[in-house]
Amino acid sequence: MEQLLNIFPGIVSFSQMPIEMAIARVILIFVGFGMIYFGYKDVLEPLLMIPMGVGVCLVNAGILMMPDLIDPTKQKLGTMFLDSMVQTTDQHINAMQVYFLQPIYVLTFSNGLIACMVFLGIGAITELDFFIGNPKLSLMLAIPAELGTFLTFPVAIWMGFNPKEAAAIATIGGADGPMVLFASLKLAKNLFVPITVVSYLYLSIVYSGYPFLIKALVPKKYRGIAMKEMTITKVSAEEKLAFSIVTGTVLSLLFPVAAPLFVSFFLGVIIRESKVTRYMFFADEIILTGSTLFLGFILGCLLSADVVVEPTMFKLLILGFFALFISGVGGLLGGYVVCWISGGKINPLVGIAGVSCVPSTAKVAHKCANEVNEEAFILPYAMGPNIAGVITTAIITAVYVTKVPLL
Amino acid sequence: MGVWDAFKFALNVYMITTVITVLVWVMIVLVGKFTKKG
Repeated sequence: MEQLLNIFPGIVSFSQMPIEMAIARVILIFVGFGMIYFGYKDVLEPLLMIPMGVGVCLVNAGILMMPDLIDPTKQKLGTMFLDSMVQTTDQHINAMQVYFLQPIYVLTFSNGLIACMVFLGIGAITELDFFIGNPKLSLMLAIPAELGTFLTFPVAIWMGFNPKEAAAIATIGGADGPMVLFASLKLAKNLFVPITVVSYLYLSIVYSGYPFLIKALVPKKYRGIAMKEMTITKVSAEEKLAFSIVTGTVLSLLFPVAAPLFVSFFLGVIIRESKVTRYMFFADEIILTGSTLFLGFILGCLLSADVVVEPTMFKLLILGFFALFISGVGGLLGGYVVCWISGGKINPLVGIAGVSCVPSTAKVAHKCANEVNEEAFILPYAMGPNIAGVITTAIITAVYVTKVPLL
Repeated sequence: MGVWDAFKFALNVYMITTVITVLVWVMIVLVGKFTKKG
């Protein structure tokens, strides 16, 4: 029996770890199955949840005793996927000979490149017309939708996190995955895996979760406002190009630490507006698709039992929920304000689209309005605050990344 | 850092974000004045 078990070190590894870790491993394997199933059923965002679920399942199944690269005289439980704990150049080089995902992790995660690649792809698929055509309304709605990013910081401090960790956690309120990844890599590398996983997990359920918030806070008569009297100004490609170049330059000048994010996003927008079809195809179909796949898969592979059993994970789940809940409430409050200013012409639901989960929150606003009034087609008006939300989230992340290290 | 200090710091970050957002709006208006309309 013992010989038979030695042929299967993955099974033996259950007896070589503390019982709570072994239980967490089994639970995580089922969580991975759940991610794949709900991704397949379109309940959760399939582009991320399917590769993440596969990573979670396989990394928690394929554990074995292997040499410790940090201290070669010892052995430790690990996987053949990657080791996120190695730090020195020698350890990285050695790890790249052993772990098949280590090259991608070292070259794209450690420096935030993966977040920039996703952001470049988002820029390349972003339609700026609705935002630039109605900038005042869009930006007015994007600011209150950052309420969660603002209020989560003191709550995280109250829960025992240091300022850098609290700022990284607070960015979940911006509801923009690449931003959370970038902020946590810059400010709290020790927590970037749980923070990013919690963030993406919640972002993938925004589409099914926010309708409950909307129905609880907005009466039917407001939800059904059709916005027929509103118009969207047409915007030329020249105007969008000039805006991207000027804004990208000014924001990079103000916040050099976050310049990689601004450069990536506005490069994507400029590629789109320049109509260079080869680059458009490359940025959208190859860079965005490829980086989303590896982002999901590697995050899944980093979600091992030892990460989950940390008490920090429970706090992060609470703070992530709080951040997105408060941002949603802030967005709806902003929506009520513009509804009141416009004399009831603007549907307050466009406010929640200021939470920059492109395009999920805009679709949620449209869906909830359309359920009440079939003539309410608010998606084009919701896309403006949605894109403005991406820009304000990039700005608030840049301010946190710049100011927090100075504390 | 105390909770009250953290709140004041976060409020400061929020205010800076608001000011920069207004700057973005100004840039859109200025760019619109110097470029061809759609």
